[in-house]
Amino acid sequence: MENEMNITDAQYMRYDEDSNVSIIATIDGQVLGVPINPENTHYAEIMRQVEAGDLTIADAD
Amino acid sequence: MAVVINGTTGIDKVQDGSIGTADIAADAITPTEIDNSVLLGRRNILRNGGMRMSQRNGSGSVTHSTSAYHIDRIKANVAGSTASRYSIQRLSTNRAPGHAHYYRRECTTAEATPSGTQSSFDDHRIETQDLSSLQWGFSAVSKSATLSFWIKGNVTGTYVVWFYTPVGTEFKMMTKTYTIDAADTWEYKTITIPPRDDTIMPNNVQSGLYVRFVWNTGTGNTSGTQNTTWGADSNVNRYVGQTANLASATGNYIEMTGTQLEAGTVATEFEHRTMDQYNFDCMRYYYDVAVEGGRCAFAPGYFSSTTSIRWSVFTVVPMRTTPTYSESAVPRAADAGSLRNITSTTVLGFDRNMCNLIGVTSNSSGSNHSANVTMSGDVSFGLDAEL
Repeated sequence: MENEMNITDAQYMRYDEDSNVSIIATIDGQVLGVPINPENTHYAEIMRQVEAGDLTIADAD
Repeated sequence: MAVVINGTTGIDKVQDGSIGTADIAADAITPTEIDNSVLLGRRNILRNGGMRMSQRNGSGSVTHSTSAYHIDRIKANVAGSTASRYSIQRLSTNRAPGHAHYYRRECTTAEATPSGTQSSFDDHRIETQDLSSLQWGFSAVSKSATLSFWIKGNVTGTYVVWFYTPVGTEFKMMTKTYTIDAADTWEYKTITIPPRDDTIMPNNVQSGLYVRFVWNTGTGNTSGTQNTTWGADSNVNRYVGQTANLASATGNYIEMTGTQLEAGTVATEFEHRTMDQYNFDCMRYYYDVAVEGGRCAFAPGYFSSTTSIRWSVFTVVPMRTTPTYSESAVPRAADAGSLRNITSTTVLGFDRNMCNLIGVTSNSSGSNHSANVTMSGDVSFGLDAEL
């Protein structure tokens, strides 16, 4: 399946005491805050590209 | 004895009260006849069919190089590494009969001979739960669906509308065609598709049906066999029948409006909705908040640590799911006399119409301190729950 989005610079974000709560990624040239929710289209596409080996998500700082 | 009233100049008058309920047999008036003559409410399954909503660009023109929503609820796609490019714009001049707005797609970079799966197309993607009126999967009661729309373009020929159902153990597709017969002329088209009954359409917030208007495509999508009934998804079968190439030259265009998908085999008159209904329909998927006219404190927040600030915004309607956050400029936290940029903002949680956000700042005056979240200048942020 062809990638629907051009995704780069994906990184998990951790805030406060929380574990990974989101992914910050550049999608089609725009920096977006993507929630970890399978119903979210951006998150679903990120995970599909990860599973396809096309994308790696960096750990949170 | 059957009686046929066949006056050559019509019927002068039926006497008042002369036709009672008992005089009309149970099957004398069929639903088809009613559909053809009575305006029924909420028939259009598509949202923004009248092309009135354009939250992201207003009436401005945007040339897209990636797949994205520009006019609300219409995803303009590029696929197969196509070189073709188009400008997208919502307009209101030279409009179709009975419509206030229309959508225009104009070729800005030509691709005279698309190869492989190089293609450009527009998607209307519909939630499974919004397809309940079709009752697909219940063959005793399931209904066909009829698509109708107004279209105008300078490239005559045959175009494809591709229907795709990403549900069940096997995703299925169907291909239908229509023709633009006369150049630069508004034409009304209708297409009817049968129900898909081999699986019960789920009832959730995921995509249940794509209605895809194809504008240019390579032979990688046209060299197979046309699926005129629901069949397995296959690249070579997808757009079989498409002979028109809207990307054959720059300046080529199509304009569309009055797009309607409804239960049944009859295309009824377009269901006009009020502007507040258009807003509600579209803001379920995208909510643009513009801060215009200078500085504005639009939400109270608090520092949950010295470097994290949380705040909430309320959306007009419940969104489809937890949205993605985007911004045209960073918001700032007004705290203890300082303005601190908020970066790496994301949506922490979403419930009904309350969206909780979190971001990172430079050190604040202290954990649990309150702050106002501000934006300055004419900037905006967006919440995106599109399909």
